[in-house]
Amino acid sequence: MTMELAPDVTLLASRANSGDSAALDELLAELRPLVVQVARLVVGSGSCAAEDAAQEALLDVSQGIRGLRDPAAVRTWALRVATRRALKVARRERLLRVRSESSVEELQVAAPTGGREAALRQAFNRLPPRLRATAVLRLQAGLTEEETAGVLGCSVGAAKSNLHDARRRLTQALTEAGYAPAVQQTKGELS
Amino acid sequence: MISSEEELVSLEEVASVLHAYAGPDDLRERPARRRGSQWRPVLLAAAAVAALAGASAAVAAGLGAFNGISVAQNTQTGTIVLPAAVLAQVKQQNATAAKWSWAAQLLPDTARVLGKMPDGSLVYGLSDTHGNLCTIGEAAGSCGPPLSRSHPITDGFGNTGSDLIASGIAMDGVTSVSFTVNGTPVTVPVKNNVWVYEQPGSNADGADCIMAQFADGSTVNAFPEVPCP
Repeated sequence: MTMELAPDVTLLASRANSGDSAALDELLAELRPLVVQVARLVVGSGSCAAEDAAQEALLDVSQGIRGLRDPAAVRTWALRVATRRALKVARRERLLRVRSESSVEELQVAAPTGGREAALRQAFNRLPPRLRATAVLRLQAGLTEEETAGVLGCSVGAAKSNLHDARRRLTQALTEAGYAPAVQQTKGELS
Repeated sequence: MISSEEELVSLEEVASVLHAYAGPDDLRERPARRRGSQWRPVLLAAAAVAALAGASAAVAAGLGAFNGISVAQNTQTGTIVLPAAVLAQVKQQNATAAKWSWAAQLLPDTARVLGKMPDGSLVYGLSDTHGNLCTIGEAAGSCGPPLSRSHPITDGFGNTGSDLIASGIAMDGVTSVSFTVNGTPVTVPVKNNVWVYEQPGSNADGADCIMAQFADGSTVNAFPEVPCP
């Protein structure tokens, strides 16, 4: 369920890093799903701000590629760029929501009609941006705890704690919405 | 009270919801970009003036984007030619943005010189098709809404690998910019609408609590989304 990149992405990153604009275009095409979806999830899928953040993250990647020191680490680097951009936008949007609900633009996108999934999505959107980012990096982008900590600039312990806190809050929200929180976890996955 | 691992919503279920919630691989089409109400009238006024003068829409957008920045108004005696390296950046940005119908295009015809970086390289200001104020140098650029009393400065923080470099544009009346770097307070004077700061031997690539001080003694938190310790 995580997003994979083509194996030649390191080569593309290396060429783009050296100023090859055609390689940069190809690299952006490879990284786009990863960057867009992570930025969108951290900001809040369905908002205009999320799409703005995703575009800005792609531009950040486009501008920053010349400074990338290790092309083999391009995926984690792109996630760091996207997450930082998304966190900045998410915090700003949170303030806007606090100040004026009407100032936040929403896109017309399909949403679950109700039930447990809708409750979980709603609860996820209410998580603090840093907890959302941790969950997205671990569960959507498939990063390890160490990689997640590196992207967020925190300790591994803090990354673990963030994910636990996110799950605790989601569970609480499900319970309050009238759903049994626990679903059996498959052993060995996402450890 | 939720206390045990077994009671928590499973990682698999959260992952499944995220996957469904992530949406398409590419950016969604969206309506025109949101604009702050405080500067929309400025743009409209600029457009009207430009129409009367027979100027282009690009220049109209530029006037709005540079509102409140004297150095940009005073030095603009004609179109400047961007250096090749900067123009290449503009073209690359526009080529990337062209993939989405709603994304703004930079307008090189609106370019003007705003200031100098510590290494002597020039920083240029230009507008985009959404009327944003964009600053661009040899290394990077960024865009944001035109400056206003509640958003009086732009900021750009980066690390060269050994030094923290920060710079931005300030609207008229801003005398200094202050922020904290790794908890240490820094105040930078504004000269000719430009502020520049260098911290050699630093691994920082950002700052917290970025404030703008006006000549009348008032202070504005320029980026409320950036936390103050």
